[in-house]
Amino acid sequence: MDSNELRSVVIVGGGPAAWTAASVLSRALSAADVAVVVPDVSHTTPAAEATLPTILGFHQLQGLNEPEVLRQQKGSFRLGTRFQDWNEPGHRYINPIGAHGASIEFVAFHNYAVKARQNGEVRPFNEYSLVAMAGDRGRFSHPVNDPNSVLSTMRYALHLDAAAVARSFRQRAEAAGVTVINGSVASLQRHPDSGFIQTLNLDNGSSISGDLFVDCSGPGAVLMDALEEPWEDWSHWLPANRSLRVISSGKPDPDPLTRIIGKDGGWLRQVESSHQTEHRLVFCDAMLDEESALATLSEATGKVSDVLDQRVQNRMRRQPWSGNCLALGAAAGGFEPLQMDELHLVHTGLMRFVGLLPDRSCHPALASQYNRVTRQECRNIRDFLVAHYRATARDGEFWRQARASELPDSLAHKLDLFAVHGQVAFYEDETFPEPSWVSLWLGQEQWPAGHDLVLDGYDFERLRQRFDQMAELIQQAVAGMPTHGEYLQRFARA
Amino acid sequence: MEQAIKDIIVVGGGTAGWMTAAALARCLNREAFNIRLIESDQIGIVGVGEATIPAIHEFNQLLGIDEKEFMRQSNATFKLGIEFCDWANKGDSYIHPFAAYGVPMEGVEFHHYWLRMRGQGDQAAFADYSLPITAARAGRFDYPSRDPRSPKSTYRYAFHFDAALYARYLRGWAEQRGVQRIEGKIVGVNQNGETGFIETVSMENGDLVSGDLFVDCSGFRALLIEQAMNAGYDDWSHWLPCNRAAAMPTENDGEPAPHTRARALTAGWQWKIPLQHRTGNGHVYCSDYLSDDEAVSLLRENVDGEPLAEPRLLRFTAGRRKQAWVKNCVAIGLSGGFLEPLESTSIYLIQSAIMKLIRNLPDASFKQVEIDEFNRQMNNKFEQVRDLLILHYKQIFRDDTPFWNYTRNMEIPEELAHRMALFKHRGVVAVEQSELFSEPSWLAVLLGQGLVPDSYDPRANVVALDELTRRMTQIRSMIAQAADSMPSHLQTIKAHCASDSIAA
Repeated sequence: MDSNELRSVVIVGGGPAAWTAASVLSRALSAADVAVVVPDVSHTTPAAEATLPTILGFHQLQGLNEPEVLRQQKGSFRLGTRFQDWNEPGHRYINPIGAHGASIEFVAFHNYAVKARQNGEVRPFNEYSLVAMAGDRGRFSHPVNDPNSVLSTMRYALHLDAAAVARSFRQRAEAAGVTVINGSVASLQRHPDSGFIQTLNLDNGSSISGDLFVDCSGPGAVLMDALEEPWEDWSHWLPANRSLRVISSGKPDPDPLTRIIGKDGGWLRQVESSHQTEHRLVFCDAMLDEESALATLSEATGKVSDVLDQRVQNRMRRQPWSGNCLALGAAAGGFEPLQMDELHLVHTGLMRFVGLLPDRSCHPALASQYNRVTRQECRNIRDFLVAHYRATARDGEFWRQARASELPDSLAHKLDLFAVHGQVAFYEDETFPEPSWVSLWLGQEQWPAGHDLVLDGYDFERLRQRFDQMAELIQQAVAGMPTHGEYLQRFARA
Repeated sequence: MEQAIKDIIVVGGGTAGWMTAAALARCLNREAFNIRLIESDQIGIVGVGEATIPAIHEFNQLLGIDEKEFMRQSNATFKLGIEFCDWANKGDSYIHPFAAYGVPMEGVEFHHYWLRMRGQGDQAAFADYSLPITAARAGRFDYPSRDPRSPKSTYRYAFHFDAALYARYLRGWAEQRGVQRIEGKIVGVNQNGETGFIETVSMENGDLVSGDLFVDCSGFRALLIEQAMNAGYDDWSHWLPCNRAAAMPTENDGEPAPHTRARALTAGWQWKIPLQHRTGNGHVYCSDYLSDDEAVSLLRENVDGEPLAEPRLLRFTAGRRKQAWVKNCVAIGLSGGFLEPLESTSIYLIQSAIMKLIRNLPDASFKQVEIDEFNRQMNNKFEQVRDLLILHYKQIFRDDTPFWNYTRNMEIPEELAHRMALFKHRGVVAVEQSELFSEPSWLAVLLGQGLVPDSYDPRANVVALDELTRRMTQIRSMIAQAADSMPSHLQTIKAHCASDSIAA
């Protein structure tokens, strides 16, 4: 039964994706040799990684404890995204992680907020979210187990330092016996019949063979490009294609929210941590020239030196697993960093892959399963990002194109459905849960025309009292929380 | 805001009709809505779904139904799963339980460890790692434990009940809450000449009943959704060729089993559903391969108790209404589609449609997007259940009759073929998040039907073999002990929910 199992895995790349893959695969494939071919010049990755709550489960599966992660990967807590000047200059909202309020039997909470607003209530939606309120005030504490406490509604993800993530997983991988080979792939040999990759020839004259290859080589995608795996390109919906990045000093009390600030011709993202602040201006270079982009960046940050120029892509390989080659990270595709960075999809891809570990035959049913779920996952993410631009009123070609393009059917259905009574159409393999969609729409003032009629069967005054009380408890709870910086110091030291 | 709808008319008073009326009465503001149900005492009901799946708890809980009371009133018994006999091969038997097998270890699903042990020559059956299967085989039943550390916390249960009595129970419940019952036969459906919306139905006595929303629970006749709205039907009989059933109650033969039995015959299969006061039996067959007379005599041959009535014949076509919701008409129950009761899904599909209707309750503008959403979700539900049913017919080795030769060789939906290939190669079960039947259910049927994977997840090799052997033995003995400690099914019924038929 074991005879055809994988004996050797070759990973190409030197960034967070490659080292995470090396660490995860060496654990999962205890009987196989895992090697990493590290190019002399690695592609650059973002300095900061904004992640989603799935990272907590990923770390748990990998046997990593949180204080250690925060120390080794220079991490901090992330409570969501703070949008400024996005819909139009002066407009602000927060899209927190997790859900607002509490459901009313089988009716999701936002339906209450919709009806309350139609009844003339004015309490801002985010006052029903402990996460949003804590984020806004720069505070944090872990959720408690007691379901009767409002503190049990706390949810979070992490901000991490990309280079530290790579270092930390490299250490784990090397400790697990992964071989490291320095060199760049010059050419590859494929099996004449199956098309499987057999051997990589490196520029230093050596070569390495394997049963399975993992392309983590970034946008250069040395293996996937050689295999000529086609793209599904989404740039007509999401026109951003470039970013300029600068790093400034860290903050002792970093913002637990990722900040997104609308600008002419694009947007600026800021991620704070105690050791650095990353500023990235994301834009479309056909619609904003470099000089204007640099001016925008310097105006926001006061800094124009050490600018890192990176491509931004909104696209996905049709088959990120092709034959005996799996692509992860930018080699597989990716999205503008509006709601998360590359690491999230590296994690979900790896977790999916280890549930489908192939033998040397790389049975097509496994790849087909991986590819269909990944495709569905990415199309849903694409829809979520596209939805961010629909209600904006900013001027300029970038914003006009992003909001005016004809929508994917899946998203059009979702938007139309919500607009009627506030119901949410939910598809398979969604990354962003229903509350995140609702926070996006209500944060951007996209209130439905009607409300959920089931709520008319409840005593509204009693619901109002219940949720008013919850909002007050949230306020008190936030006031009692330590600041993000204080909490980090205490927790990471523990 | 759009104008609200006010009058909801439920057409038909079987299981679907009264479940719908009761749920609407529970969930909607009674002052804002006027819910009426039309039924005729002269029209019999099919009474689908004598056997259920655990999702019915959610429905009963929504209504606040007292479980013991409802079980007494509907002569209900407990159900831990379905036993499938003679499917892949004559003589085979497996149970599809409502629970996972074993426990996952080191982040790897349990069945991969079982496959590894099996490869080592270990003889323990997969079923030995399931408490509800072990209990069901021993005729035992106990309520699951609320303590998450107990092995008895790991399974769910459903019910067998008399569907006509369940409908009657719900009728009482709904009428108490203001649902108005209109007795009589519908002789005409009157639509708006321009919009095609149903405005009224004409009653035999000349009355007109008007409504804003009509729920078609008229069963196979599909009085509104097909006869008036021409919704169309997706015929799936090339995958599920059974098109008739002969049903006949018998006396109980001994204590009621805590599981449904589905025995494959020559051109279909026969159910056995034990209730407190009698046993339901039915032979589901394909008329291309078996005459009605042959079917009835097979049914008689294969029942265990004395017949209590003459067999009743039903005709159907497996499939689904192309659109279960058209304009202001929503089909729920058999009018919305029919899947044979092999996995006891009829009531689930009703309850699922009811909840989706409530979640997408329209106002007077009947926005198409809400109708589309309902139809999208119901279409998915039907297809997911359909594929698990087809698996029973496709994944077999029997070649003793032309019927099984047909189903063994038939083309199957691409999605199902993909799932089977994936499982065959690596023991991987692919299920969608929204699926009713999750991984353990697919595992039960895939393995039960004899599809044994060629290999397993190599991560299952990480645990050392002697350590694994120790853990596997421990799981089996925990399960055997837990099953042994349970009272018999009948004891549990007598202690909690015996109807007059047993108490007497």
